[in-house]
Amino acid sequence: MSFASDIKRFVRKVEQRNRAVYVGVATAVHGSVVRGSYVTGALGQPVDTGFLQGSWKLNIGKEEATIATNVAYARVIEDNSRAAYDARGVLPKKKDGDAPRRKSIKSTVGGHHSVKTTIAGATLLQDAVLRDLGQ
Amino acid sequence: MITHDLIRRGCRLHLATLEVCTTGTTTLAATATGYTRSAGSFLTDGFAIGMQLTPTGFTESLPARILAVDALTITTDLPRAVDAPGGGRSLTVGLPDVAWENVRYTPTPGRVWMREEYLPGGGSNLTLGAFATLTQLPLYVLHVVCPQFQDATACARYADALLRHFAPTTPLSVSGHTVTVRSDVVPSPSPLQSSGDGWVEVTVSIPLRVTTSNSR
Repeated sequence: MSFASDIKRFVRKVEQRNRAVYVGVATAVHGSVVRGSYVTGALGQPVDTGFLQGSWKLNIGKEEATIATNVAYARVIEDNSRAAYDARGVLPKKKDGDAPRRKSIKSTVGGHHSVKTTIAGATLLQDAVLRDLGQ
Repeated sequence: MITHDLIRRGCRLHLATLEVCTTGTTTLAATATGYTRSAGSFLTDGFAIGMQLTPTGFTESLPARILAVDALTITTDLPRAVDAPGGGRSLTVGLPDVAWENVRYTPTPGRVWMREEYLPGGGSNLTLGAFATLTQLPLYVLHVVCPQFQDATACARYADALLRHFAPTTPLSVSGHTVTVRSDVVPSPSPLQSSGDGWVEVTVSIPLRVTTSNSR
């Protein structure tokens, strides 16, 4: 045992803890965007076929993690712009005699704005991960 | 306790005072088809096609939509009572029609309107104890909706006006709560995107921070 080896052990321990926090936060952010989170209040992705939900990929690099989807309509779901007349309302008739038309997402799980809600609650997620890791 | 109904109302009260652009009090005239001025510029003041303006100091006070605008002339969709040039008048573009959350709304074709969403977000205790200070991080989301295939300047200016109006650290008046627009995560707009059925929209997200005491 030497002071130098003590320092090395301490450095390794700190690095391991940093890595655990980094991976934990990245995983929690991905979970919040995809499945929702009580910590951030995000609803997660709506599910019809599961294509959009399954498309959100988490890539944890050495120093940077990315969470991304290549599904073209993901932005429309995120911003709730598909039903711009009000998803809960009735669309105006195109011509007299038309029945009222509705545009709403069929899914009973998930919702909109999960990315921005997750970003807004990122500090809460960090705190939750730190608590879970006992730090 | 955190009362989301009050917070939403505080957001709406603040939104109601939105001012997109104005001539300020100046000398203006009304013609049968709109408004004219001999000095200054409607373009410099920020007026754009599709905006809903409200006249003050004229015989006709009903709002009208801008069909065309240049430096000295605005053409409106509704006829105006003719007024000779006179001082003490103004034209102001404020909050357009809003589809409030869960309230049925039918937009008027060709007219800019907004749609509101309130997202409660997550929360936590800031301090310890039974009567701890609670914090909550809601999002107030406003969609600026404009006619498709038309100059999108109005849409961008409404969105910019929202960003100015809800600038970071802006306090909102909510009884029993401290509500401010966050500055660590700031309000931001989406790109202009089609929402179908002849409309396009910009989504403006306004992150808020709320603190209040736990009243148990």
